[in-house]
Amino acid sequence: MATRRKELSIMGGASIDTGQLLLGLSVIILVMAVAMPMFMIIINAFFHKATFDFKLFSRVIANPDNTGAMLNTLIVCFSVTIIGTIIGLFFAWLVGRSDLPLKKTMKALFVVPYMFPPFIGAMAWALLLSERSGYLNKLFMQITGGNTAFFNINSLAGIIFVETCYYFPFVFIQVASALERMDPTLEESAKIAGAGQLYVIRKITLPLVKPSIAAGAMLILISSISHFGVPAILGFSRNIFVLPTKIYELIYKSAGSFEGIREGSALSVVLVVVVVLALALQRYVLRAGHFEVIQGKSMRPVLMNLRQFKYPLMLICIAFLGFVTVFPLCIIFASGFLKAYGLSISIRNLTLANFEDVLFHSKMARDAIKNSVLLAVSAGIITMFVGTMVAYVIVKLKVKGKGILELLSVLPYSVPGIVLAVGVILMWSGAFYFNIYNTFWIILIAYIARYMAFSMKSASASLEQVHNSLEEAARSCGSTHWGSLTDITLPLIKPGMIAGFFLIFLPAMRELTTSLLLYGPFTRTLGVAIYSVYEEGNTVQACALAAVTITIIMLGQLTLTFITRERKGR
Amino acid sequence: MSDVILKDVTKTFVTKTFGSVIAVDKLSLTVNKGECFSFLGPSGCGKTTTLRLIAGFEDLTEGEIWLGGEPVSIGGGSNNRKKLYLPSEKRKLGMVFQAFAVWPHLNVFENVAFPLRLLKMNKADIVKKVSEALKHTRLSGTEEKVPSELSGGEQQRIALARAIVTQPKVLLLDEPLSNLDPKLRESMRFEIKDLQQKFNFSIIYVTHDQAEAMALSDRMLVMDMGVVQQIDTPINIYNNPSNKFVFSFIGRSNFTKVEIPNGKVYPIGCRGEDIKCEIPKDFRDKIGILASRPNEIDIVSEGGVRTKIKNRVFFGDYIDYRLDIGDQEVIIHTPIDTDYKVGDICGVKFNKVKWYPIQEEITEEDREKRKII
Amino acid sequence: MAEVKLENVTKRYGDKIVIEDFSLSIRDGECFTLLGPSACGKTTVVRAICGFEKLENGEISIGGKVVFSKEKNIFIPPEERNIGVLFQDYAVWPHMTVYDNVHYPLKKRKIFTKTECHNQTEIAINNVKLDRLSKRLPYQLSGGQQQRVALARALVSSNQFICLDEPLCNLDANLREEMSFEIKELQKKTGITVLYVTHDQEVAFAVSDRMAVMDRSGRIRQIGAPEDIRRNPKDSFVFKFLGLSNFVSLMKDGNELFVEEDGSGLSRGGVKFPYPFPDDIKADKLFAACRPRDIELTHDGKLKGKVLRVIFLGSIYEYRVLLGKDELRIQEDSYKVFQKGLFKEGHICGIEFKNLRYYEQVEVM
Repeated sequence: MATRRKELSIMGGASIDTGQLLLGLSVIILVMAVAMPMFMIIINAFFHKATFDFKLFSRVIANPDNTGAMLNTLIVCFSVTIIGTIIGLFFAWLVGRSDLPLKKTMKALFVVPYMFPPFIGAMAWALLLSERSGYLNKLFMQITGGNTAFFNINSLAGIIFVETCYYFPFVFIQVASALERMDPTLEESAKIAGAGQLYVIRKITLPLVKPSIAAGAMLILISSISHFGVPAILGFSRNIFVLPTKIYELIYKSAGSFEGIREGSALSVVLVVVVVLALALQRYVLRAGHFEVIQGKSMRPVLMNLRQFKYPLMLICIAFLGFVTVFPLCIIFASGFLKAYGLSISIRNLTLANFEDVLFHSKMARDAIKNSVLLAVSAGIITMFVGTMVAYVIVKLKVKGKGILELLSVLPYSVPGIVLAVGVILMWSGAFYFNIYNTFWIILIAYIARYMAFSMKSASASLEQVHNSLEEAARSCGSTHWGSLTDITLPLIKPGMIAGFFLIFLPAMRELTTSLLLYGPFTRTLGVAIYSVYEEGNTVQACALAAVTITIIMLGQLTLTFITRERKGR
Repeated sequence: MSDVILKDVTKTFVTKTFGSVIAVDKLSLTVNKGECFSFLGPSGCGKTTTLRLIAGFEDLTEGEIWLGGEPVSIGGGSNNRKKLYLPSEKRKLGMVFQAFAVWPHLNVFENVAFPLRLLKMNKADIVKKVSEALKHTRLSGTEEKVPSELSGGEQQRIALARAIVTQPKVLLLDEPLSNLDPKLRESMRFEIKDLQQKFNFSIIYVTHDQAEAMALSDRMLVMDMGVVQQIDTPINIYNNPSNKFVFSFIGRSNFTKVEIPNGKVYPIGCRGEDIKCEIPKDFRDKIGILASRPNEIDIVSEGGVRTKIKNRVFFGDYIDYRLDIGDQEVIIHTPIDTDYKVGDICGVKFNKVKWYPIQEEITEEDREKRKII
Repeated sequence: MAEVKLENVTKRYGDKIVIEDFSLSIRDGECFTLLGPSACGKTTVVRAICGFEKLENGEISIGGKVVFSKEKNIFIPPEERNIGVLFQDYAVWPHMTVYDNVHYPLKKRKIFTKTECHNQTEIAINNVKLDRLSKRLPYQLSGGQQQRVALARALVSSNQFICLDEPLCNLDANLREEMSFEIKELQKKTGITVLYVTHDQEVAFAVSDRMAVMDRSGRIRQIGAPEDIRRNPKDSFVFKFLGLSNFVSLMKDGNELFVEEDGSGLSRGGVKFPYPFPDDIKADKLFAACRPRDIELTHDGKLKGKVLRVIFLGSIYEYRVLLGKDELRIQEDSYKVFQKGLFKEGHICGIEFKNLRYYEQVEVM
């Protein structure tokens, strides 16, 4: 009876049949995109011709090259985390609790490093501080008259330095926003009780932002463990490896041989285990100590008077920002205009040839731009829709079994890019009758898997803001369920979906790790193109290409900011 | 000796949207030892800003603040005195905030012990004083608990205990009961009052709830738009509000515009019947406002200003009658045993009225602006 | 213009029963209020009538048409029930202006021409006093203004029945009073049936023709006109819910009542409670219930109490007086107190009661 079916269309979704359908579709997509590749890695690492074989795995782990890489990974990620946290905390406190001038600008600028591909930053620093030919080192040697460099960027210390520059904003953002949201009366009541400024910071402010510090620090830790770009640029020439770059080397050196991939799989398992341990640590750290410190009345927090330190500190901030963000960018752009690397930067050494090459003559460059744009747009659109659908099932529908979906949705977020690439190769290179290795499609699938988590998070956040009562109100005004979706829900999540698109488009444009393992002769991405041109030694051309990439990204970022600012008005 | 003295205190804020706003305008007051003194006014009137000036969270633009006979804030400008600003931590005050401001990462004992630790007291003394404070606020036995395990009312009592543990001479309270439910609000009022009588400190209490202010205070200050409207005891303010704003803020009111040609009082534009009430000797204007309270004027079957019942609503403790005098509505509250029906002809007797001149009204929008600051 | 009937409606969330065998009959053109404490199930009743809850049992009919019946397997979806609703969280659509929000239901009902829709929208916006703000978006409005938008929208959504769930709780006292009279006016003018849900008895008195008092477990305790219920509350729950109350603990001995002792020496055993009481109370222990305004303090009298507190609240004075083991709360207009003279804290005074009601037990709220 018509009414029976109507009974099933109670608030919370379409009829149960459609709900189950959406659920099933979402599960299939996530399994194929994410779970299967992981599964393939495990199979390859531990099974040989359908029998369990631990020998390969133990051989890989025992190999001193690999243990060296594991140790380096730990050294780098812990150093980056500790130093990055201290820097992030320092600046967050300056911006959030002192009367530093130009605060709004600072807040915006401190977030900039977070938006740039760290490997391009590594390239810039290599131009400045590579042992023999780095500009700063050469200058230093000129001044001191000696032969030793000021600092060799191609070292663990160099890797730590560059990664810290790009990861400290994680802590900065978390702590700055926690300070902003904190109820100022918590600190005021301490002052009334007789506490001086420093005592308040020590006993009240710091303990209350500890959860945010921990959250930011964990983010840095996990990102650094999985990071590929910076160690690749700075470490390969000196045989300094971390786990992600070692995995790449194993596969690359073996030129796609079975043995190489198996070894790569084995090491990938190690990497994933490390990441999972870090995630477990993150959960533990975040659970212990969660305080509701959100303020009610809109009162300004009490700011510390910096007195004579005000302007010196402001200069330090500006200098740091300049050093970390602007300086490397300038070097990249400047080098793009040079005739050759190593020449001093003077007018007679400048040329437009590199940019001309990149934009108009080099087929590879133009292909790379085309591929990256195509991949980023497709990945963005597909992931946006799939992510929204999955999020809708999780957030809005009341169907049985959506727990599986929630579990699957967390997976992509935690898998390092290099591991995902390995898994995708294993899954889509003929194992299941589909061989799309070296094609555009394999990269697209990898991207969809990689960025699904972002899209789902963003879509969930948007959907959660559309309270059920908004849809119910529409229905009681005479609108059908479908009508309320189109009149109410869709318009309200549209800005979120668009923002979600850019959230994927931008990282996808500058992506290196995954495409480096998956590209074929005609499917280079921008990241791969810049990297390979750089590795071949065509430094200035690589810089020109990098400059073009950065420009595209900046334009995209501006569009995103424009859209989200419009949305804030709502 | 007075515990708190404010002399011509002025605070100006410079904002991007509205330019320069005078949040507190030449405010002077004295709070005597052991007195409970309230600041009463609508949201944005400047009462919280004044409290924050006394606490030292803001520095005043002009004027002087003295605590316990010592100056703590002296503004630049007038008087040629040197500028002085004593930071909050040195003012030896106790303070309780609206959102409790109890530290979530410290347990009850540590919350209350916090001010004592700063005084570098020895351990045994701290334990003794904390136990006493907790006893007075009925929180004995909760020392090990964290605030999130306790109810809103209990958290506010932690804040109270913490505020009195150093036995300050002056206690500041910023809408301390507004976040509690109505029943709790009533019982906490008594607890605060009892604490004051026990320890004999002065209290400055900020609220927008006039019943609360009246119930607690020895004297109170009514404020609007940064300007003091009246300072007096609650009974005097209720019986003799100095202007129309105070009259309306302190209780339910009727404002009837009247004109006074040749000694008789008529509702404006309605020369039918005159209102029989006394005109104050010093009221010279030809038009004015007759202010009355709904429960202080009567409906009479004979006499009074003749009109009829427009609306009647039974409200449990009283009956709300609406009548028109001319084209102005008058509200009358009677006990529930009166028996008039809608449409009945009757009269209005203005037993008790106050007279105010007709002045320009401050709009809601003007008041709205000040709330943002 | 519709009669609304609920019969034996039951709703469960897992093991928890929210409302059970709930029956209610609202007359055509009536403004009916469901009055009860928070979380008593009154919002569930509204959602059930509107079609947003799956019910375990019962039947609901609006204007004579059955919209839900478990037995007969009938369920009409919300959009076809022709009910206007205002939810507790008002659910104003953030991407539409005030005008568009209010206009939406008229557009969806498809029974008016474009001009009629426009006119009705304008009238509704004027009725809630938001005419200056009709082009604004919700984020530019205060909570109270948003609530009024939702109210206007609810009022145009239907010509037969409207449900209002706490529609005025976010408004300040003055605006609340104004709007409750406004709602009453509109209802009388259009003759539409209104179900009003609230915990605020002041508003209930202002708008209702009849009301039902619900307790925390979802049961209706009493139905009737507000004034009738207030003057004759059936049990102590209703008495307590509808206003400030005093209860005097009494003991029956033969034909006489005595104030229960407390050991303070004031009312030592044998203090008679000199008021008549109904014959049908059989228990030995009972309670006399009285409103603060129905108690008067005198300078002498058979019953004596001790004044514990004297509180000036502006238009009224409140006394807290100890009688036996009970603390009584007494209120009197302050201008009368000024004339008669104040009783001071610590003094002994006489107590006189009016309008007493008797109950065998006092329920905990």
